[in-house]
Amino acid sequence: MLILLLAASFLLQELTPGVVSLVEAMTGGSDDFLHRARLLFLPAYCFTAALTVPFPLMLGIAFFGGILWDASHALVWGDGSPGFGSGPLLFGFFCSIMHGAADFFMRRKWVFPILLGGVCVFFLLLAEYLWINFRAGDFGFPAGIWIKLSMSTLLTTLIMPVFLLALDRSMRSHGLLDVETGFGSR
Amino acid sequence: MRKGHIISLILFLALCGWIISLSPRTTRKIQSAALALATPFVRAGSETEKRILHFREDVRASETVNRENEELRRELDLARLYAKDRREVYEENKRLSRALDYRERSPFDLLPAQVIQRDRANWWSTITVDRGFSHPKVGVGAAVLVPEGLVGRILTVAPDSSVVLLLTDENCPVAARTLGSNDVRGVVTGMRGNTESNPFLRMGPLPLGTRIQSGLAAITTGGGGVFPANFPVGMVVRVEDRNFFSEAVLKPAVDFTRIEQVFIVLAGEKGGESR
Repeated sequence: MLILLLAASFLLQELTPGVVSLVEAMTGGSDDFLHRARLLFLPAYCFTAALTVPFPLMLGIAFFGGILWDASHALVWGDGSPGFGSGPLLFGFFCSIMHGAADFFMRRKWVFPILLGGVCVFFLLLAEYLWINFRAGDFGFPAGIWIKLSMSTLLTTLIMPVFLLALDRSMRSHGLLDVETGFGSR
Repeated sequence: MRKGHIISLILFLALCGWIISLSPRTTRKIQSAALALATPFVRAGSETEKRILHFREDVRASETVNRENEELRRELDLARLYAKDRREVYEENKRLSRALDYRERSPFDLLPAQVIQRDRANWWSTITVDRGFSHPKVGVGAAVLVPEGLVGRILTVAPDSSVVLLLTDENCPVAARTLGSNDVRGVVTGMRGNTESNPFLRMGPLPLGTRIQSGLAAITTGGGGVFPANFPVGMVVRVEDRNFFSEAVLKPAVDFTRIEQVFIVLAGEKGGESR
């Protein structure tokens, strides 16, 4: 089920550039209204799933989520071009941070985990951008970058409660989550 | 930390190390598989997006008409609808005729392709087109054009789709020169961190103090063998001096927000099978 949701979030993310341009068109905004910000379903799912599963499974989700992330985002160009493989590491790092807030999720206090998820998304994107700059040998931060980072973070944070609700319902209905005993009570 | 956690962490790090050590060839295969998996969904999404946008345009048109006389509104609506239909057919006809003519005039084999997705990657400027390696001559690195000029080159290929890295990305450099008797040569690249749909390009490095008349066209030189020669890249807007060199700022020849159909330059001599 978790793997299916992972695949679904990847495919949803493939559809999102269209969704964002649709939002721009529907709201009458210009083409650059959102500064090419995106709804990032894959990190949203991985970060929320990290709250709901035991540590080893969380690492598994982070690994496969990171590979899917790299599969659509890494620029592999010519021999010896780096860039592929940073996704699982970054996802592993941020999912571990999210996993630390699992208690909040189990007690149905979701505000903090969602805000933390937003912070993780922001720093995931910032880390990628810094890495690109580092590889290019100089650092440039046009204003549009901060808008893109903030808008992507905001849009992604807004969809996190949906994932949390789905995971919470699903896990509780299967008796996989218990406030007293924690994960995998059955 | 429990023993199981430590083992899973070590396993995770080992797997990450293995992934990082994969060759670019293998990673491209992974990317190609992911693209192939996503292509049917992207196509479906693209179709839905077009339908919704057309619907929205129709709604907007009728909102304007609503302000006018109630009696005339229905007639006007109808008239606009017919006019719009005719105009769309005429525009499409004109566009396809131009494309066909361009394809026949071109010195190399071209494969027409439809844009099905924009901005797939987060930090790179890309489009996805509906042709892939199921056509034998489509491959990584192939140049992509429209009649107005150069679009970019193919980055990832799946059976029925390809990701094209746009000229506006800094990872897609092109050797170019300005038109005119005193041509200036340089490398045209996009700018990192651009978040606009149609950002400017930079041509450099030029000798410090170089001055180019604004409005002058820049075309490809064909150097490097990736892009064909004499294709419009952009138009000089201004020249900026840096510490040790100058750079020309170009307005792209292609409106990247509006491209719907592109041509992939096929490998090999002209005259081969291209459909």
